[in-house]
Amino acid sequence: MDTLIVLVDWMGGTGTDKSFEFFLSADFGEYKEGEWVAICNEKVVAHGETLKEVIAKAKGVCGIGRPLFTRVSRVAHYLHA
Amino acid sequence: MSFRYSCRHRELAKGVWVKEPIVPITLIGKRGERLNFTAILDSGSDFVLVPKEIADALGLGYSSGIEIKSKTFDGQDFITKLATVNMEIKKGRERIPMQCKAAVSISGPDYHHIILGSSFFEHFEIIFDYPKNKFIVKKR
Repeated sequence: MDTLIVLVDWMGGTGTDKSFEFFLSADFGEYKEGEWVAICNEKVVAHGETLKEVIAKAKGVCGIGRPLFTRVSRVAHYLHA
Repeated sequence: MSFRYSCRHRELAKGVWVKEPIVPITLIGKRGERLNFTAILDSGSDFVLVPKEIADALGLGYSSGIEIKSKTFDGQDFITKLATVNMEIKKGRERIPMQCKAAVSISGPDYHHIILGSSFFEHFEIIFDYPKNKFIVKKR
């Protein structure tokens, strides 16, 4: 099982890079502040208020790759948690 | 091994842009489930900070962790529980696995990203080159 996970992840590695490149240039203007989105195949494949529902929606849509999950943010952040 | 990333440019208001040091990261749950998230580098944070919603989705098993009182930059108190989390960063087919102490945010601010604090920085030499819109994460 571990070997399968590593193999799938290895094959999907470049897919994650493409999802991240999409994230870097996306403004997510059509989604609400704080909403979760799932990205794969260079597009948003699911979005919603909770991570749980977005994971469920994204499962099965992405094929061999794994989705990249992020939250929409348009406000300034000051971290140092 | 080193990974080079571009800063994310985000427009806060018309003509007001900020740069963010965000990386894709894979978190691995106790049962081996892997989920990819965006995470922001913040050397001022003491630990990796994982929102409870993410910890629950991965089954990170934080409930028996040590409780740590925490405070945001603006002074807001919140409670975290410490957990050890397996994670990896990867680019192309190269990957760097690691184990980090993570604080799971039980109550408090609703952070938008996983925060990669000093328990992440301990694994790497990290170079910020904002004039060139990039940063480099290098395994030590």
